[in-house]
Amino acid sequence: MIPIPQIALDGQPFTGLRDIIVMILGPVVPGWVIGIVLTLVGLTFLIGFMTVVVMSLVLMERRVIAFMQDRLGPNRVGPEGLFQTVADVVKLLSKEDIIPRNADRPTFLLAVPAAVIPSLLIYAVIEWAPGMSLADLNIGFLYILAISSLTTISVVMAGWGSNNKYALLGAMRAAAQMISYEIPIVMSLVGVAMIVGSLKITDIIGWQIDAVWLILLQPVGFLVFFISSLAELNRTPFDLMEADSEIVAGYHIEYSGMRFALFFLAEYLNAFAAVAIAVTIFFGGWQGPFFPPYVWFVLKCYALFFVLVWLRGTLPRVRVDQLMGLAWKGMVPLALANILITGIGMWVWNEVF
Amino acid sequence: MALLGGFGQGIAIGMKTTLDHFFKPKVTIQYPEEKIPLSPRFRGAPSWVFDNTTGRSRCVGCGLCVQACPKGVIEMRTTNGPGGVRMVDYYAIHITRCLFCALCVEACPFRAIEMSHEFELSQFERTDLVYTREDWLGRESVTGPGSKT
Repeated sequence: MIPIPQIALDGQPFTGLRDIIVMILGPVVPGWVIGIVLTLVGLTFLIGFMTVVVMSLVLMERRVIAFMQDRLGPNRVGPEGLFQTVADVVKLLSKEDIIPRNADRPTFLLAVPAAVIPSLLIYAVIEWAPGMSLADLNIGFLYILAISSLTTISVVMAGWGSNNKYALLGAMRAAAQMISYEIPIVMSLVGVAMIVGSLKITDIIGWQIDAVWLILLQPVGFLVFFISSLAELNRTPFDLMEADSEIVAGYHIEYSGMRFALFFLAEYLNAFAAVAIAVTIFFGGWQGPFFPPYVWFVLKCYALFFVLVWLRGTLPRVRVDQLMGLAWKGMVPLALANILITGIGMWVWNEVF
Repeated sequence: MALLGGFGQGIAIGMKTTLDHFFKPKVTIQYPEEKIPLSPRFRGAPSWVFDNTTGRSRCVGCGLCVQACPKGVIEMRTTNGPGGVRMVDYYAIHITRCLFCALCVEACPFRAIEMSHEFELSQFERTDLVYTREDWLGRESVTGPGSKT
């Protein structure tokens, strides 16, 4: 007889769901089955929720950009254009699935899951509310960085597999760019890890609740992280690999219909993941008064995503040499200096107090 | 800003500009719901003018508009009524062939025909594209009643 864990319902929605499942299944099945069921339920929720989030992000981006350009943007489908993305997705799904004759078929086809799966994997460690994450790894930080760099592989696969010179050019640019900006991203977060003394997402949020938001202690770290994330995500000042006006659409030029939709999904999943990570690490995660924690988390994420779109509405595209120069001559030294100053600051703090 | 040597100042100015435009009124006109005002001499579909007081057409059936039309759009049939007065029995404009040149309006000595402000002329039936007396009845005149200048 396996002892049934007695868990009280803590009144939190979603985490309450976990307790309900444990309560119902607890007496019936062994513990590992409950674990699998919980993971599957969590995954279903996460994928469903993220799909909706991505559709809202696409609409938000289009409308905010339009507003900044004195236009109205899509506002015809449904109230205020709410169903525009739904219509777009339905249209993309119903389109013919084209594979170029000279494409490298296995590479071409595998690039799509290779793009979507890492983007979804990042969300495993993101904590939406207290206890509301699929896995609270004690190397959560490192896990995020490791997974997010996998995106490069899918880009190179898509570029090579398409057998198209524009796609290959876009992929090559992307590979150079994403690998270069991986370094400042990692280094910008070192300062945070030094201050908090842990790589666990829960610990980082907990530290910020006890003390202050880390943006106040690590403004340079945030700046480097944010700019490098923009480059990593290939968003507008750094969208050289897509560069609509130069190489059409970059690595996914040969993809259409469903496959293109999945690439698009992965792109926005990555964007939201970067924003969620920035909120978790620098803006206190789900912390906030009056509203439930997950509302605060999503609100902060959307606010930061608005800044992304705002930047897109403002800045022109940088040149390739400017891009690389910024990474190696700007971001890396800045991140290194940030680590040094953080170290000195911590030493002084420990000496004085 | 002096501390950073003005670095990033341009970005800040640009960000402010875009944010300003975010809150400004938009230039888009939502066409079927809102329409831009048409100029007084806008040339829409030609239409007959009816006298508002008597409800009668000013047309005397002289046929000058039929002569003036380069495309033969206007179709008119007249009969001689009592006392030798010419009566217009049938007057139609085949709008499909009209090129909106307004030569008929210029030709008319009684201002019985004018260019209206109608420009949404699509119809489901081809017969609906032949405008007759009934189509113009009760319509507001653009130039106003009795303006003979």
